[in-house]
Amino acid sequence: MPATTETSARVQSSNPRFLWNEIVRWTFELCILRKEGREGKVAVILEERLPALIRAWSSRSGLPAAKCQERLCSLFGRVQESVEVGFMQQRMIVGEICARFAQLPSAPGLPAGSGAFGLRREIPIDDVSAMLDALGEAEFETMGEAILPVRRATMLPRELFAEEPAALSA
Amino acid sequence: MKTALNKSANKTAFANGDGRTAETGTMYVGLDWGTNTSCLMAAPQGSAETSVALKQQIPTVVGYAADNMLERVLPGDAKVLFGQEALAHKLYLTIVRPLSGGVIRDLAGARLFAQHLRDQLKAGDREVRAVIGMPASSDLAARENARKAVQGVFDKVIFVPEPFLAALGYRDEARLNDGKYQDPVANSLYIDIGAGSTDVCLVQGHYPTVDDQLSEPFAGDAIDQIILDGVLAAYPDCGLTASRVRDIKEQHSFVLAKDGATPAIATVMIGGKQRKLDVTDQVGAGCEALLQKVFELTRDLIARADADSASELLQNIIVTGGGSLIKGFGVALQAKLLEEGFENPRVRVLGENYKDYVARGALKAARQAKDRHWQNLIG
Repeated sequence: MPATTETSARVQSSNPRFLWNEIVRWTFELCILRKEGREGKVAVILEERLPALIRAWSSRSGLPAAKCQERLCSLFGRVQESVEVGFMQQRMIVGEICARFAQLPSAPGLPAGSGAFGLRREIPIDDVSAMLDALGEAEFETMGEAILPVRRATMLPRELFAEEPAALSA
Repeated sequence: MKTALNKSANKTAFANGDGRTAETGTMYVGLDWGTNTSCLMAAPQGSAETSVALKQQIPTVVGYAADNMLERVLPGDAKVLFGQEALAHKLYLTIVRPLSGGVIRDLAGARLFAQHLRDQLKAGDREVRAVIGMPASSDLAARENARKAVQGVFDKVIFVPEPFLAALGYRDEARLNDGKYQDPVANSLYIDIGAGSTDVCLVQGHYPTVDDQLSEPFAGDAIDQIILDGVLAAYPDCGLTASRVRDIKEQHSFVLAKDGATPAIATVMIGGKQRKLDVTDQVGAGCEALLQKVFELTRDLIARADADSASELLQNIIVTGGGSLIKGFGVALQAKLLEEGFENPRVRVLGENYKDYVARGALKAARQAKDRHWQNLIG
């Protein structure tokens, strides 16, 4: 790394605002991964990323410990809620797209019964929690696969949203 | 957010298994939402692992009363009745089965039925979290539909494939140290014959992956259709309906050799007169078709199993679901496997209590689920 870049990175990493933004970013990442059931990656962030960032920010923010804790708790709550809402919206949007495509006789290859329910890796019977994580992960991947034909289509059929009030006129 | 229906729900305290009551805290629900019958189990958070505070089997039926219904004919002059009560008053109701093939077809009916299930809990404003079994072959749209049906009814849900829950529910953890107890999830093949699909899966110490299961959209509803077509071909004027065929099947289904079977005699009304029809051949044909399909799936899945595990696997073939109630099914499947050259197969049929296993497994899963697993629903 060139000396100027190294210095700039060091200055940046001691800036409380930069550290806070990093905490926000990794907290989002953590909550999203958790909703996707990717607990392995969650553990890495929890063990390797966030603790160091939180320690650095707490010591440089100039705030009393209780205030730091309060801000962090508030951040975690807001991010969790935001990710939860995002996932609900995602499910509803994917469901709506799948339903609409299923109704179209000329739908570009959305396979019937897309998104069958199952695990993609072996989970011991005793580990119910890991089974539920893996189902969440599979559901997330399935959602992506289910709308692939939509992404692949060169353009959305115009009639798909024709009855919507906000449909674009030709 | 709770619906208006929820807010008006009975606020009676929920009884614990030991007779105590608890008015606060979360309630866990395990639900096998079946096409014909649903099984509901519930327990308050923190209750003993094996305790079940409520267990009910309810026919998955919604009955709507006509607007001009006379007073005092229906209990409480209800506009909608559910389950057994709806069936008992079916003469005066339009009967709807909100599920078909294991998935929701009538969202409005399914929502009302789900609310009826919640009312059985007498949970008032307590948070209710439900683990709901879904057919392994259900797709994303089916799961989204189920979510819509329980929005505002349950606060949080998790959907789990039914074969997982059946395996979990069938396992008796308390007996794992008993040398005589054969752990049903160590090396088994589960056959779940539902209404819409037959799912066959390998359970070898781990939950089946997509490679460990086979599914065919051929099950109870397909048998009904074969029987109906056959009976109508033989007795064109009999006016048999799909729901009557289901009753006949449930009473008379069999897969033993015809000469060993009790004749299936169905009583139908033709022109106001009672007539007895011999439907043995038609019922037999439907059940035989299912047996053949299950046999093919089983054979194909055994072929996928590791060669070293096959002999033990053949000793643990477990049939569950409504199709398992067909008389002689286990014996006939065992005979077919033997005929095919499989060594010493042993087929066990879970029988009448099969619904309990899925619901019990769902309740076990609910107790062990962490906060991150629960899906929030918009109320």
